Amino acid sequence: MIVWVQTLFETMAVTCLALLTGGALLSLVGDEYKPIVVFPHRLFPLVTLLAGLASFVPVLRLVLFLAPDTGWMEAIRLGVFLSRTGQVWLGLMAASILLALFLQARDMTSSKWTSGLALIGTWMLILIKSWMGHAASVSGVSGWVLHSVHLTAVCIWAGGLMMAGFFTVDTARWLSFLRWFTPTAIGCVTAVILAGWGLMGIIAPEYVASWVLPYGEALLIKQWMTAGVLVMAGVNGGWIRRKLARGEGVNPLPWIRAEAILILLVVAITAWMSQEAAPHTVAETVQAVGVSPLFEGLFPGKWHPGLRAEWQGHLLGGLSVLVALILLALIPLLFRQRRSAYGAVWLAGLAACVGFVGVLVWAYGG
Amino acid sequence: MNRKWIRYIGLCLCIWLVPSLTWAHTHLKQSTPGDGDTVSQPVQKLTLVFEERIEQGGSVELRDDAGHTVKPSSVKIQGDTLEATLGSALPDGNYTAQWKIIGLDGHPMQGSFHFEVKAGKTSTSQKPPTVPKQQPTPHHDQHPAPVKRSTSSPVIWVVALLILSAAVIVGWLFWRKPKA
Ligand SMILES: [Cu+2]
Repeated sequence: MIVWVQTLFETMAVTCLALLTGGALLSLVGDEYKPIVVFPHRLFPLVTLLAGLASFVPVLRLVLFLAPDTGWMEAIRLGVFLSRTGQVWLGLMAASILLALFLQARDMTSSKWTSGLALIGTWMLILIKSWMGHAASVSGVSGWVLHSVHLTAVCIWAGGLMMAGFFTVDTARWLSFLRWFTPTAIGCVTAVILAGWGLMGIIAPEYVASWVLPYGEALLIKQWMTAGVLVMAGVNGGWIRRKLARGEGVNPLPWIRAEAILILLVVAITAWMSQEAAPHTVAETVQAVGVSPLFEGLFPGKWHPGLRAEWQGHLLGGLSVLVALILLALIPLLFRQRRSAYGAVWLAGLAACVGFVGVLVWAYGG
Repeated sequence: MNRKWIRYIGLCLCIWLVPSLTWAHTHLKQSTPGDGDTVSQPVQKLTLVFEERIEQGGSVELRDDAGHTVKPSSVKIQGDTLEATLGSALPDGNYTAQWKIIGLDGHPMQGSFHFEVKAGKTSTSQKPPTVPKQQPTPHHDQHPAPVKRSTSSPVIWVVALLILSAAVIVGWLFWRKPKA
């Protein structure tokens, strides 16, 4: 139960940070390089507070965990004031209250100075939030830097997409917007990759073997989902841009919205994963938490400590992977035939499910 | 294919390999008495060492076979070590130690281990002879040997269902009239 609550709130916190980043970024950019933003600016203080409040769940989890043994007062003292998670959260909350007060007093869009300060303030929130995560706690500063880079890149990318997709009305200056946003987004993706690789060096998961655990499975689904996001990014940053440059009539808004929705889904999967046990050593983790119900459901009674992937090229697995790839390839076709962009969300989601099952069957047989 | 596309596809392949930002939880590394140990010295202290530093607020509780619980008189947490001092030495018997801690990553963890005390000290309270009993979901027990079940895998049905729903959705998306 608390797992789903935490997933929901964590996704909400990242969404709020992304909205703030996107809002401040677009306010900073000159009017000729962006569509007209219609986000109600008096909501920004609220969004800021929400980013802090929604991050409370990990602390709540600690308090609920301790309370039966220690009583409520002591649990709150230990969880909120003495634990690292609680202390960092208090810092985050204080910072978000300060930023909210600033944004209440000064409209973010009123001058370049205020939007610049809002952007710096938002980045402070991102940095503190990264300090709350696993990475910083395990490997100190280097883990924190990698996590911050990751979260910052996600917020710029998703924030820009959400602001431009959901809170703009015209697309008159879309081309000049894409001219700077596409390279920015590519930079963000690259940053996410590099940070991820740095982190992988520390986690070093037994990647294939981890598919018997919820964590590994979520990672695999996330990767398929990310493939869908990249196809969408290709349509948005490549095809639509070329069409607009040639003066063909396209409405990019639904497509950019669909991409933003897909990224939020990936953020939600990540939020869910961050509570699961990462498979340092798979066999050991299985002893501690058991095989995932999903794996047990697909392959009843299959797991044993020496289980290795077979990769025997099972027909069913190969077929599913092929279907998944076809589903992804249909996304650009959807665009070419001028059909609903939201169909792409369905296609990407289905591709993730089919591809996920396909890879598992390929690896572990029928 | 021009170079732009090669670069784009290369990027896609890269992101495929990116893991998420998650870390291992803090597990119990070792304990005194250890899991499965038989101790012939009087036990008045439990020491639990974890894989990394842990937060204040952890606890450990002992339960003997008869279901009596023993709470330590004091618990001290320092660095990666939890030290529980018992009010008096444990009477002979089998014990399950149930621990609860908060890892530095902020994740609550719990688990248990067993040990037996054979120091020649019997309980002052009359206790029925100890009967080995199944412990409730012990953390460090070996996984039961795999039972080769003849249950057929539902994989084929799952795949069929997924592909069918893919067909339905693709049909629904593409066979309607385009928006003009
Ligand atoms: Cu953890």
